[in-house]
Amino acid sequence: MSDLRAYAWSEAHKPDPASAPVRVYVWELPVRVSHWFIFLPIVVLSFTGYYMHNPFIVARSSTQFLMATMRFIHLVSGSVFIAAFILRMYWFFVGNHWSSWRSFWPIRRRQWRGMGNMVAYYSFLKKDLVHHVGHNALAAVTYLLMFTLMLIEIITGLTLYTHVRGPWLLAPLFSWIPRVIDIQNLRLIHFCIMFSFFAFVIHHVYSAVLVSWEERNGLIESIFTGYKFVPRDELEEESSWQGK
Amino acid sequence: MFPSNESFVGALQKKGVNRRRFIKFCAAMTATLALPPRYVAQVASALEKAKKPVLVWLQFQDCAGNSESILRSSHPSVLEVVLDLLSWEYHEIIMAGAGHQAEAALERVVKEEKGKYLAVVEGAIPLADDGVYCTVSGKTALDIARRVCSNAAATIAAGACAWDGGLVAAAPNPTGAVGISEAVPEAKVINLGGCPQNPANTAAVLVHYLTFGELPAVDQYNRPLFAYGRIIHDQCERRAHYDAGRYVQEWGDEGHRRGYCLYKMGCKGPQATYNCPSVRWNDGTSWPVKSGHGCIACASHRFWDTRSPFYDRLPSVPGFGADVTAGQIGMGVTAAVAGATIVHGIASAVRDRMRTPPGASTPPATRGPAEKN
Amino acid sequence: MARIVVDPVTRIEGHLRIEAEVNGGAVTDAWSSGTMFRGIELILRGRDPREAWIWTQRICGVCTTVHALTSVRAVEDALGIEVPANANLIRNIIAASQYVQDHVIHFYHLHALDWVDVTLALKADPAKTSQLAESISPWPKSSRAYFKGIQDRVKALVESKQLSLFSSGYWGHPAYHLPPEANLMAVAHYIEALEFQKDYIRIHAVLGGKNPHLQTYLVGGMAASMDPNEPGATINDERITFLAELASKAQAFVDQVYVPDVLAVASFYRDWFGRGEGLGNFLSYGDYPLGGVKDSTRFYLQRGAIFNHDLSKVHPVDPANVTEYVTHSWYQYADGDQNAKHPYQGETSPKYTGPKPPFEHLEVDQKYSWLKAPRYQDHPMEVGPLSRMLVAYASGHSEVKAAVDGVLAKLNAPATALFSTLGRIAARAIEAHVMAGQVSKWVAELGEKLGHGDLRIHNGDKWDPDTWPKEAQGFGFHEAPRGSLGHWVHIEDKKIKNYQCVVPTTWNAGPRDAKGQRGAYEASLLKTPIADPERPVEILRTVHSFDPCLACAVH
Ligand code: HEM
Ligand code: HEM
Ligand code: NFV
Ligand code: SF4
Ligand code: SF4
Ligand code: F3S
Ligand SMILES: [Mg+2]
Repeated sequence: MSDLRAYAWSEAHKPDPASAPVRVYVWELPVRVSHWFIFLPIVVLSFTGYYMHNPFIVARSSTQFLMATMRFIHLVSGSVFIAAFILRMYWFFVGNHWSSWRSFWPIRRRQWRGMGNMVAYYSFLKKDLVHHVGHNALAAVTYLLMFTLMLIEIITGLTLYTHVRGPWLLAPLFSWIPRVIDIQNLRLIHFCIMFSFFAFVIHHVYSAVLVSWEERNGLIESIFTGYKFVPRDELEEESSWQGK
Repeated sequence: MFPSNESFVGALQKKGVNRRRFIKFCAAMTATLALPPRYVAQVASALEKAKKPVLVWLQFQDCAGNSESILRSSHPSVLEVVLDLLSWEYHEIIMAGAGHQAEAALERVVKEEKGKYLAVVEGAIPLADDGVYCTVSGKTALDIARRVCSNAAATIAAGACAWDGGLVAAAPNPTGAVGISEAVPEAKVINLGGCPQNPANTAAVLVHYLTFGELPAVDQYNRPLFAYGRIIHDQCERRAHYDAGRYVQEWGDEGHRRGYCLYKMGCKGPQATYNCPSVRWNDGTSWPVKSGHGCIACASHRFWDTRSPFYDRLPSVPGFGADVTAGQIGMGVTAAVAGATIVHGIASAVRDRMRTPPGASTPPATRGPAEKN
Repeated sequence: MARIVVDPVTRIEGHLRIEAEVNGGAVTDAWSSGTMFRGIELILRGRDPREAWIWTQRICGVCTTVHALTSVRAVEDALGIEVPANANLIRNIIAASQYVQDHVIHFYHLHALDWVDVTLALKADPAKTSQLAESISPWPKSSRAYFKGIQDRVKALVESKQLSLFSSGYWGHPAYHLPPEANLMAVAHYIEALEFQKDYIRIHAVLGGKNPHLQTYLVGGMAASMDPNEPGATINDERITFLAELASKAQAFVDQVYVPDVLAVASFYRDWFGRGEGLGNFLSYGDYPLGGVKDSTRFYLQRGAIFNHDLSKVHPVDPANVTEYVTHSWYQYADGDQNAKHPYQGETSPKYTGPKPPFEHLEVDQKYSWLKAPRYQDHPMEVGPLSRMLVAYASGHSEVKAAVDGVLAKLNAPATALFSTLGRIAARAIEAHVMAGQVSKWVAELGEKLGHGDLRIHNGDKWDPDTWPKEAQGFGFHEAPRGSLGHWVHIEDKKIKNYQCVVPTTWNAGPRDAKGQRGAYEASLLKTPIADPERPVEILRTVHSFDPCLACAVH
């Protein structure tokens, strides 16, 4: 993987002038699948979870099982969410360069600089965006943070599940947790993290739209198709430090 | 109130408790302890043989609610049976002796019954400022607890205060109050949480001790599993309403009158373990949720701080006021981010007008490679 | 001259210590000290005022419910909330049944053993006991065989040499005067009263889920829902029937057991109509609103104060005149300990300056108690059933007047005999009689409202804290079984800023103030004869006549 150009285009399709954007296959299928199977359950989990927190619809008839249904859906979508999350975790280690865990950790000076650039861009101190093939470094740490919060959400969710279900299969794994952090505080954490997802999604979608639009780089489509359009010099540049 | 050299049933019969009533009592105790019915006979025979072991009941930073609760014991003449099963030698709220005579009675038990008697503790024990916040006969609660509980065969912490400091230890815990296990770590303690504890459980623990010579199985907080092993919410008679989504929305509304679920009114039943719904209170008459108010999880660890505010679903978020809910904060943060995004979007649109987009002159034309994998 | 210390004072709620100087066989000075402090007023700060009642109720488990009621009233006063009539009625039923419960338990289980020698019951002739019982009351449990059975149990107990709770009493003390038959009857009723109290208090379990510590109050009303036909409602037709049954059983018990026993015991201890007189100042906030709490003219028990034993004048009461001293209490005030403070300005800053435990004696000329010293217009006041009955009597309350006059006639004593140790006991019994009747009436009234479809139990206008002003303060009161109880709350930003409780036993058991005026216990112990300083049963008699509750007093 050290020469990314080999990745980006074949001998048969030599690229045009140096400045022209290149179509690059960035997001492999498992990344895209896990992305959407994280996103969709979060929508469902947030709705059902919020209902569990505050049952804003109240049943009138005696044949409805609103809360029980909400809880059931919460658990089913929670399971899908956990599966997608595990898939993505697995891909951290076997996926391509852009999905590898390495590209999320801000360990290189370059990544820190990239983050500075992004902050400057967002705060209108810098007019133009520096292109990245994968994530920009700022986005990467945010994703890392989100993955961590997802993990906490899963752990607290499973702990609550173990708690409300009483001792069960998961008990050895999770039942010690409420002894350390009170179950009500675990609920509070589980609840508050939901809002961090809300806040994240707003910003996340917005910046995706912003960047796609301003940079005409097909960012949004990329999370569906896997392909991004990257200026050649960026690809070259990234390839030059990559692997060192 | 019967001679210790007589058999228990004989003594009971003498005072008019007949065999049938006694067996009924044993059956009730066996059920409370969640023992299979075949144990009824064992419980009965153990109680028949029982000589009266000595019990002392200490009160420290308490409200006497647990003592009163014991007075309301009401399974088939539990009070009589409990009084008859044990020689209750010291209990300030009800004992005949006072002052020096009372002190002497306690001292006699500690000396003469060393290692054999049971101690019950009610109330918290203040550790701050050398324990001056609670003294009896000029001695601190801590001194008395150390002496009495470390020499007892077992100590029962009756109620939240004795278990984990209870209300007295709620923030800011002005007197440095703790429960008996923390004050006297060497004591062998079983914790009966609750504010107050339910006397049916206390009686059952005593009966278990008398029957099997040991305390019943406990959970991680040293609470007997038979009473604290299940979540209130799972045993609640309003549970079907919860599952169906039928909730009380305002006090006194139609749902309230029909006995709908109190979840939206802050009920902490889903966060509480205890056997209220099954044993109930005051001779099985009722329990808080049945009578129309949510549970406050009074048998949960440090419930005063962890389960309050009692009319909100979740605890308040540290650093925010008691009146701000996590939901409000979450919505606020979400709205703020949304607002900031809109502003940023407008600003970006303006910026976009002021520059040439990249690649505008050279439309993307290049093809990438065939998909790998 | 000898210093007598009684610590622990038992058969009371809480941790009370009495120190007394005895000269020439009588008490010449006395100090009352509460030796336990929890700091509940401090723990309440920063919490939601709507749940303050849940916390304050735990001030005391004996007079459970009373701090809950007072607390919701304080917050309702602060926020200007009027509760629906049903809620008021339910509160009255709960509070009045608490009187009956508390008074019965007090007489039999906390106080009787000061007058009754359990061991003497062995000498009684059960046949004569039966005669005695039948001569004073129609109560059915009065046969020879019944009393014989009780006597056998006492005998078995004594022979076992494991006397349980009775092991360390002052048995054989020369101050015990009851004949053996009366002792036996009292022991029988001690046991019956134990059964009675647990049965009767199911009134609280129905309305409040459990006792102690009912879980049914709400700022704005009650959580006991009402619907005649819904089995899921807290109060429905079936429950009304049950409540009515309990209430009428209680009337029978009070009228046929408790009151006759009090009269019987009093007739053998007439000396005690002249002892334990105390302050002569009596305070009652009045209670049992028949309209709203604001309309004190429509309280079932009147509001008023009596000074210097003068029953000819009932003074109006304004809670603005209540203050507390800490001159002899282990607290400090920011501007000096000589001042008195109204509870709205109240401070609770504990500062222990007493001897280091273990200690022999308190430093009684300095600070010596965890109780503050409440004063009304700078006067120490006695509160409790006696104060209430005197205020009601002097205000012309018809039921109270009839009951008091009846009792006085039976005992052949003048009204002034009430200013005494026995007077407190008699007043408590009279009150139990009057209020047991009220419980029945109010239950019937509740049943009627249910029948008429009046189902409102809560006023939710101010339930949402967003409807509250930035700042508010309020006063809640209640005539608790032991006397006048007040909570003062200051709310700021939807949270409790300051909370002060001035409690019946704080009034009665409090220490001296800046002027050296004694509290009610201290004053009433003066001149008490002491036959045996090692076994001061006489001190217990007078102190117990107040029904002390120290957990309340200090909180
Ligand atoms: C993005 C993911 C998730 C979100 C936004 C979410 C949201 C919520 C919310 C808002 C609540 C109600 C909190 C309260 O007020 O008590 C809740 C409760 C709960 N969640 Fe989740 N949740 C998520 C993931 C999970 C997962 C992965 C599980 C695992 C099985 C789970 C299991 C539970 C359980 C068991 C409860 C408690 C139900 C109860 O108290 O009866 N959640 N969730
Ligand atoms: C709960 C909702 C969402 C979460 C938690 C989430 C999370 C993520 C994460 C973790 C990544 C990095 C991909 C990876 O390495 O796995 C990502 C990328 C991406 N997501 Fe989402 N996403 C969410 C919703 C959406 C939505 C609704 C869109 C639609 C526009 C979207 C568009 C994208 C795009 C365009 C990328 C690639 C961005 C980049 O290169 O940095 N996401 N998302
Ligand atoms: N003093 C006192 Fe209480 C009463 N009654 C209450 O306010 O006892 Ni516990
Ligand atoms: S646990 Fe509750 S009932 Fe028991 S002493 Fe403490 S406050 Fe009172
Ligand atoms: S009332 Fe409380 S315990 Fe009962 S089902 Fe509803 S939430 Fe659960
Ligand atoms: S408050 Fe306590 S009494 Fe039972 S219903 Fe809840 S655990
Ligand atoms: Mg106070």
